[in-house]
Amino acid sequence: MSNKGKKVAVLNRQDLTAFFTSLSKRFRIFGPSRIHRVDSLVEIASADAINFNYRNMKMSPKAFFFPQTQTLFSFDNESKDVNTSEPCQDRQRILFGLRPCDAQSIWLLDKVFVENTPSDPYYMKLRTSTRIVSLACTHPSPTCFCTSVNCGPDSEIGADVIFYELNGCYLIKTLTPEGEDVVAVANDIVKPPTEKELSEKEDIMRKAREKMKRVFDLECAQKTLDNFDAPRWARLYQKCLGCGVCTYLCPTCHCFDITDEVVQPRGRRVRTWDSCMYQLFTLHASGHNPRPTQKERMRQRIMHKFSYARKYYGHAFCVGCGRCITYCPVNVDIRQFMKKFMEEK
Amino acid sequence: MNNPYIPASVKIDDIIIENEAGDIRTFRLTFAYKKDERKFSFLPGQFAELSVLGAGECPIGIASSPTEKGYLLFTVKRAGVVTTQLHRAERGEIIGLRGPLGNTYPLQKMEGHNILIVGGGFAFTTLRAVIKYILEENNRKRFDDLTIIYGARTPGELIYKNELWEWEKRRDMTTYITVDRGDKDWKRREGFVPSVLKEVAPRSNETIALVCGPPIMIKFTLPVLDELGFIPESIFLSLEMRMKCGIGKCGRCNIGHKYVCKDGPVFSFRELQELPNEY
Repeated sequence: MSNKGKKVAVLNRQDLTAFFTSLSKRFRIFGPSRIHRVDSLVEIASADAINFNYRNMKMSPKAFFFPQTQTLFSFDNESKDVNTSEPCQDRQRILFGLRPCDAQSIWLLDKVFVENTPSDPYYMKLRTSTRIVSLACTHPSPTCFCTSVNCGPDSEIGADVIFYELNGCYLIKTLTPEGEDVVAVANDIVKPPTEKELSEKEDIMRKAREKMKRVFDLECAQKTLDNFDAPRWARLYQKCLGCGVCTYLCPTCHCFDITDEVVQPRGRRVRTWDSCMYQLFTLHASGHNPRPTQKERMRQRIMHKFSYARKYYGHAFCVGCGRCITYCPVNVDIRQFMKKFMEEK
Repeated sequence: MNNPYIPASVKIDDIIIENEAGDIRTFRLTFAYKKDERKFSFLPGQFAELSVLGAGECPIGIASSPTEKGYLLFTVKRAGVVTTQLHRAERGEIIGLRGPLGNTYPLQKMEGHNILIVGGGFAFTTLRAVIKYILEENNRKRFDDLTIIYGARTPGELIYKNELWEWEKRRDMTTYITVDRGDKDWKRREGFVPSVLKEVAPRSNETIALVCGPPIMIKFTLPVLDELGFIPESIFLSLEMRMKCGIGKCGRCNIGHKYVCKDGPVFSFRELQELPNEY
């Protein structure tokens, strides 16, 4: 990716505190922190609270734009009066330290909730008030496979600013006009990069990419994937318990349910995360279910990510973060699926 | 910003019990606010999410034609949580409506063609809308011969009976009404829809067929249409699927890479042949 129009600056590590102090005057800052032994993205008061020593957060950042439970509107269950008033505008937020895969996942979610009209007003509101600052990966996890799905340890897609961690300093690349606002608060403490720093960054990222070998090829897998009635589907799903953790932790899974909740006399219509791995997801009121067993549901999940989304949105809905592999209770490994697809001709 | 999740308020103006079993009712709805009525511009084939606050929403095809002004018709079979609540509703009650959603029957393509309509059971709702649309005085000349084949299990399960008997008498259309099994008063045809279709053999050249009915009817109708010479590009089907958002986001109504709520519910048979058989 070219550096044209993208400003690059260097921030010394000891100036990070000053940078965050200036930022916090304008923005609410959410950054990586270790809470109860889980790396999470939480609101932070100062730079000291940030834990830079993490691979990735357990939860994807999607909940910041698409909360697990969200009220669409409330109503009076007796008079049936609808209250659509929205809460007042939140302060501008910064999500700091997202891994590039997670930043790219937000760019994919934008396709569903913003570009695919009509746009989703609830998503839009949270999205437009949030800037994304990503942190390039230097040490991939054993379950990472971003380079196989058009993403990478230094992917800039979806981020407004990207930080590269060098020896004693950060190389900061501004990627969007929204990102300029973020870096602007540090104008007096950043300096232009030296040739040495630029080549150090190239070196670190080359090593990171080398550590992350490509596991499968999307184009190649698609050809066999599109064989909907292939016998392999009857084998591949058998381990799956249908718990749905893969879809809940997935940064790009965005299926939801809409239900009404009533505690007399108040009611609200809520949307909640849902999962294609559940039987009720597609069950008709008539009793008919187009995806009656886990076989069809597993096929749906994989086909949606790697075939349907490519046809509908032009991109696979996977960024290779590896959460579905790390947290699957029965070690279902989506990489192995894709490898098998490639081997079948 | 326009919020596609907020339902408009509509009043239940009238309720018509359509069948003997009493589990299919037509709701005549009028908008509570003029501004919502002005915004609601639709064509036959589209659907809307009907909303009973406290119970939820369900997608229902619009059974009236845009040429019928001042109200909307929805024919609802009692099946799940929301439709059960709807069936308990009385005249004068306010419910919610979100739409219009989805695509329409291919009206432009249909112009200047003969139209064959094949329907079964209570899946006749949006087909009624398109029939009313074609029969409207100003529209009728834009379409050639209109043939309708409609069937239900028993005479008591036929919906829109008064209109069916009227259509039978009209000279600018041909109407075949059939039931799987008649009763002692039944003087019309007996037989399944696909057999009647085969028997009356409407011509296929310059003809567009619109088909909507239970899966078993569709399964046996498509081969008959093929025998009669209909090409997949001239056959259009309206599908249903479990839905929530209705705007292609919640992710549950897809068949392959198409969302029934947004890219459908009307698909040509050619389009369906290219999609996985998962509906």
